[in-house]
Amino acid sequence: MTTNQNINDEEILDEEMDNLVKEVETINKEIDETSKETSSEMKGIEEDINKTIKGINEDIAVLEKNEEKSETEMEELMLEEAEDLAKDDTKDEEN
Amino acid sequence: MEKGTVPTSETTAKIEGAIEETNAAVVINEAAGNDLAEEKKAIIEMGKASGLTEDEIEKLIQEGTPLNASTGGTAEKKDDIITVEAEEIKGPITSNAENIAAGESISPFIEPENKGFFNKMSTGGKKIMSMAYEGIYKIPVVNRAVAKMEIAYNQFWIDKKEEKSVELKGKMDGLDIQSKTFGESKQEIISVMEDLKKEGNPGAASLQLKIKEIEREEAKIANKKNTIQSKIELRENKIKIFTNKRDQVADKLIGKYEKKLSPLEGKLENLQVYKDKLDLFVVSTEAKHEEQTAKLNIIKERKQILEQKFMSLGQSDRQIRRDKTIKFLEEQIETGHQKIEVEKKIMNAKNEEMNKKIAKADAKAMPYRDMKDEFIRVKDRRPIKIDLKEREKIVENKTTESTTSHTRTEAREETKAEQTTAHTREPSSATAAFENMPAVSQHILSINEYLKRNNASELQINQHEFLRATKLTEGLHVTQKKFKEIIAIYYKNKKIPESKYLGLLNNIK
Repeated sequence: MTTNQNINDEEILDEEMDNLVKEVETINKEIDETSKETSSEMKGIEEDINKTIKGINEDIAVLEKNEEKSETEMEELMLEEAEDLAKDDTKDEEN
Repeated sequence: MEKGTVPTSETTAKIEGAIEETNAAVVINEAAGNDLAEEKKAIIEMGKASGLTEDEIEKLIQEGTPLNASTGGTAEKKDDIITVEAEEIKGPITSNAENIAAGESISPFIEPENKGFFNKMSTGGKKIMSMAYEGIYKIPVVNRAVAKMEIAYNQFWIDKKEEKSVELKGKMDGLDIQSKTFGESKQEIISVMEDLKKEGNPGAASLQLKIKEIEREEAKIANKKNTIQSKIELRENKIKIFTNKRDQVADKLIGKYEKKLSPLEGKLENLQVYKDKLDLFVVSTEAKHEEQTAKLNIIKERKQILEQKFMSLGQSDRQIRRDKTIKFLEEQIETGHQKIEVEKKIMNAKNEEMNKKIAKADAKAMPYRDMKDEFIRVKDRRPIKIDLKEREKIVENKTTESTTSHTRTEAREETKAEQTTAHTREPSSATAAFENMPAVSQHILSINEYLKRNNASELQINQHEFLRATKLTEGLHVTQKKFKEIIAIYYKNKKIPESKYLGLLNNIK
């Protein structure tokens, strides 16, 4: 009776153990899926970030390239202002 | 004083004192400002601006002997405002020392008014001035632009004219004191004179002469005060012109940079959106890892319970350890933990790498974004207000010049500093108490109720939208701490201001 009971109990335990194995396999599948999802999602975000950074670098390169041009523009702008100021002064003197 | 007696020695001393003060005031008054001193001061300042040491400046001044030689001579008082024809400033952009020294070509950034001032300078002074302008060109681009505008264009002269105005105001205050002294002396003499008349004593006529002398000096002072006041007013008007012109240039440049930087600004904003998205994804994945770790721990616990049961059925420890199923189960649990650890490391490394890239791009763009602010800051420097008393009214001319300082609306614009800080998260801790980790759907229900109770219904979470954004499943089990973290980043992604939700989230128990 005891031996039979033991055998029954062992069978139940074996079954539980098999269930645990199935569960852990499911968890590991989930982990793999999460890993795949992470890899794909991060790749997508990385691509977006890299693309944007590339655009930023291009914008900065244009700004750097135009640095001298901008300087000249600014000089022209300031000369223009100086010219206006001098003209105003001349007018004031005449008045 | 008794009738018929001569004035007492006390009265005489009073009169003599008053006359002495008057004479001293006249001498001081004659010592008006020295343009050459101003020139030297300007040279030193410009020399310093070009990075020269005081010794080097002094040496160059010494080389330019005319400055030192002339200081001993008579200092001609000339106003430094000289009008130059517009054509004069159309010359080539050069700051060549020899050319300038020879007076052939002057940098167009020397204000036309300052050309006259420049021409009066010594050779040494001109050399330094030239170096100062060359120095400006060596300053990195942003500062150079600002320096060019601020120093070479208008600011230098705003400052100089302000200094001179303050100096003149000081002189004017001195003249006020002298005028007061004269007035007091005159009153004393009059009072003595009346006493003498009353008492029938001689000497009143001579005192009248003194009064006339005082009145003459008073008139001289009044004239000088008027002249100084006119100079101050003229300078104030010039300061206003320089300030307005400076501001106009700054405005144009602000607009210019806004236009130029708008594509860059747009991309930087996008970068922030991607960073927020990345943060949300990372924290959601961490939640998944936490749940998986907790599940593995539960299985480990259940395995241990089963092992105990096997032992109670008479199996030895050795038998249990050698059991194929148990071995496989142990391997699977260990593999699961290892996978999660590897995954965490990969994700964190990737996250860090991307954050570094974002920070680098942001830092690279920063100087260009700062340009606009640099010009806004230029405009922050407002002219000082010289508090002038009203002119003394004379019958012939009743007009009173009034000088008012410019009032402008502050052009300060809010600077948006993008923060690209790397994530610092607490290491995810595996918990065996899986039951204490409610499902995401349960968390959403609870938080929505909490928000409603706290009159923050606008912050309530739409489960569908939330799950789509976070890539989480409604059945995922998450700790409250992690869920709050996810919610905070979710709100950030939705561009909800921190002030609206941070306090509420912190108060959740």
